[in-house]
Formats: sequence, structure tokens, C-alpha cells
Amino acid sequence: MRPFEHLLHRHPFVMLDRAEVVEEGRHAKGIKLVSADDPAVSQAGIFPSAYVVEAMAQTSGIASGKETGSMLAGLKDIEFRGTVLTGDTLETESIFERNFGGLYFFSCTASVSGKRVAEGGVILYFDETA
Amino acid sequence: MEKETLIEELKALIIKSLKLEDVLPSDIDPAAPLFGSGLGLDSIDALELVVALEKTYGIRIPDEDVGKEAFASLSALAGYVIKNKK
Repeated sequence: MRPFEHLLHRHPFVMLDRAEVVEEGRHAKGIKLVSADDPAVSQAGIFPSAYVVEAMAQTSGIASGKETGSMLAGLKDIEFRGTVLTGDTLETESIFERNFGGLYFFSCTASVSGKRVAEGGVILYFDETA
Repeated sequence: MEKETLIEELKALIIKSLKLEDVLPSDIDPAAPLFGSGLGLDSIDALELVVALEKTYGIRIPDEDVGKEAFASLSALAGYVIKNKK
């Protein structure tokens, strides 16, 4: 799946190159190949942790199965466990846990070569009155 | 479980799960609203509380209408947990 077809985000803020729906409306995975010419990458070749979180949030948007777009409303207990560098393949995963009204909670992870670099909860807001 | 004991447990759960570092259990009035004018929680707190209650007690608060009833006060929440706990 091409992520930008399922997200409102556009280059250079699409943080995923590919995505896969594991279970419709609940579970998705994403992949980003971190390249040196990516505008998000610093001169030191680091893909900033804030963008790792954004990649987890965009994976959550795809996991939701909703096409309406959403806003990142909150983060819960995010932990960073490693640095993402140029040349790395960032793999994200998001599982929908629970919603309350238009607020949806997802448990997310981000890994490089099987090693966890970030994990935590992402809260997205979907305007369900629209 | 006695309701009074559960109220104390829920105070600790709310403080821990919502990271209310400046709030003591004794600061929470069991009869006061949890949201808005009472403890001053917001809609994101409500979602985090829904997740924490499900993980801790296995209870579901399926929608905002049920939430309004369950989150009316700490006392009301304790009653809801006792009634729906698995």
C-alpha cells in the first residue's frame, strides 16, 4: 500500500514509504527507508525521534481504516530506546486499543533491524461529526 | 470489594495513569465531578482513563453516554466498576 493514498499528509511530511494493513480497522505496519537526502534527516545523519513518533502516528491513521484524516491529539508514555540513522530501515507497527468518542488510542512500536527504537501510545482525533 | 476501598484504589489509579503529580488522593472529593469543574480532567484524560480501567478491571466504557454516567464522580465510577467488573 502507498501510504499517501490513505493519509492527508504530503511530501515531505509523509513519514512512511510503504504500509501494510494487517487487520482492517485495527492493526497496520509501516516502513521508511531513511536516506541522506530526506529533509527530515539532520546533518549528522540522524532521523529525529519526533519524526519517528510521527511515523508511528501515521501508521496509526492507516490502522484505523478511516479515510477522513485525523489529528495527533496526544502521546502516552513514549519511550525512546535507540537512534535512527541514514541507511536504516525504520519499521513501525500500530494496534488500535480503544476509542472514546472521536479520540482513538493506539499502542505503537518502531524498530530498526529488529531492535526497538521507540514505543508508546498515540492518541488520534477523528472528527466523527464531519 | 467494598466501595470505599475501591474509591481509594481508583484515586491511586487516576493519579498514576493520568500523571497528576500535584494531586494527593485526599484532594479528590468522591462526590465531585471528575471532568470540567471538579478534578478538571479533559477528553484525552477520559480516553486514557477508559484504557486504564479496561486494563485494570476488565470493564468497558463503550461510548460517551455511558461515560457521562460513569465519570459523573469518583463515587459513580466506583459503582460502575462494581457493577461491571469481570
